[in-house]
Amino acid sequence: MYSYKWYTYVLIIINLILEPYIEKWFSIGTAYPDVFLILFLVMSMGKVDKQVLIVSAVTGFIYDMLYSSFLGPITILFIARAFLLLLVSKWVTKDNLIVMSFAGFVLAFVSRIYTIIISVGIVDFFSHIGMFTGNILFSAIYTTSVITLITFIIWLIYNSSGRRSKRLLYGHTAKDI
Amino acid sequence: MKLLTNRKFQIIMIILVFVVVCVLSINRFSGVNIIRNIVTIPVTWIQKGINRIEDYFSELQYSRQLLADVLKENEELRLENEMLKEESAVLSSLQSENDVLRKALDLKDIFAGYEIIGANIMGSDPGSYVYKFKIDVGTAENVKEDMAVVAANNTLYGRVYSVNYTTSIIVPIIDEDAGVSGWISKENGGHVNIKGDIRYKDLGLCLIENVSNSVVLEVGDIVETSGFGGIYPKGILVGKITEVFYDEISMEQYGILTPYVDFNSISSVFILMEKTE
Repeated sequence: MYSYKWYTYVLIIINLILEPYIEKWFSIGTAYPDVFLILFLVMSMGKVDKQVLIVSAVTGFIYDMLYSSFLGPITILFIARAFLLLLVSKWVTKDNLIVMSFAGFVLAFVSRIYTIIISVGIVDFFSHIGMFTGNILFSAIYTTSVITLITFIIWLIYNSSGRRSKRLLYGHTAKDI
Repeated sequence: MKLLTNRKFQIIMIILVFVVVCVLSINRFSGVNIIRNIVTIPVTWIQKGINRIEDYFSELQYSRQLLADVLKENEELRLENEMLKEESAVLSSLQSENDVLRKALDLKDIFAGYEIIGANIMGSDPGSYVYKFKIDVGTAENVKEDMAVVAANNTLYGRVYSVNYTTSIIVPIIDEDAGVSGWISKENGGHVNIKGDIRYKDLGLCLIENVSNSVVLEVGDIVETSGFGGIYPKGILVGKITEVFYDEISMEQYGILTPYVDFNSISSVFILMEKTE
């Protein structure tokens, strides 16, 4: 059974509180990082199971309660992401930086399209798609870059410190190791 | 009861409740939106705190930026001020030069028989006891020894002492080497000698001696050149008598003359050259 470490929940709560400031503090031009995607992908590191699904659903629902105009859209997005991660978890591992980054890019790209559609409506999105292309692309690249960087750093630490670091970083039980 | 403990039934129920809640929440006046308060109230409190901290740092940054802008503006204004001061000094210098030249034009009217050459005083002659000054004209401009040197307002400065090709040394009337034949400019005026004296030259004064018997010296008398000495033309103002005394032994009148020229501040003079046919 895969289990998140305690700091994952702390980071999720902090992120839920700071969500309105993230665009202001971390956006570069039109690029806007999907911090929740970064968090779930990096914290799961390929070891995805039903717990990710539950945590994603709860986080999405709290997000909706805080920031969405009606309940549901972000919950659905987060659950869908968790399902996708479950499907591709066979290939997405902490050791495979390229696959990890690619998965991050695809998810960030699709997520950004989805959030823009929720904001502006599906008709306006497709009638003004040129206006959003840069935002979607750069936001996905930004999110992917952060995922790649963090994964690389964790991979370096993991390889330099052995099993103990594996347990501490990814929350594996002794049995998993 | 068995149905309630069924895992699949539980999941289906959760999904159903979720869907119902989501659909109801689309209506913004729906009572179901009350459940948002569970998280919005505590999170809003924390966000208010974050806003305050953010405002504090924003103001701090703004203040620093403002200070930097003010300092920059101050520096620019300081430079501008210095530039204006320099311009003002140049204008003032031009004004003063203009005044001098205007007075020089007046001199040309007064001394019609003379050619007038303007000269700048470059400094004192280091070989003398500071009362000989160097000017920037010399034999190249036809300057010769013993030519009269006057200031712009028709007042006597002294004479040319020595000449080089491009510079000359002039001696003011307060120097012991200078001697001027003067005339007391009043109704019963007469001839006097004006001489530099070691006792008075530090004060910028001259001695009046060899006073004609017919003349009674008085404080306030104006002295001008008599034209008898051969160096200075007649009618150049020399100064005013500020003190008169009588020597019992030689039974002669003496006077102390305060020249019109201020030898410490004057920077340009004019040399009178007699026109030759």
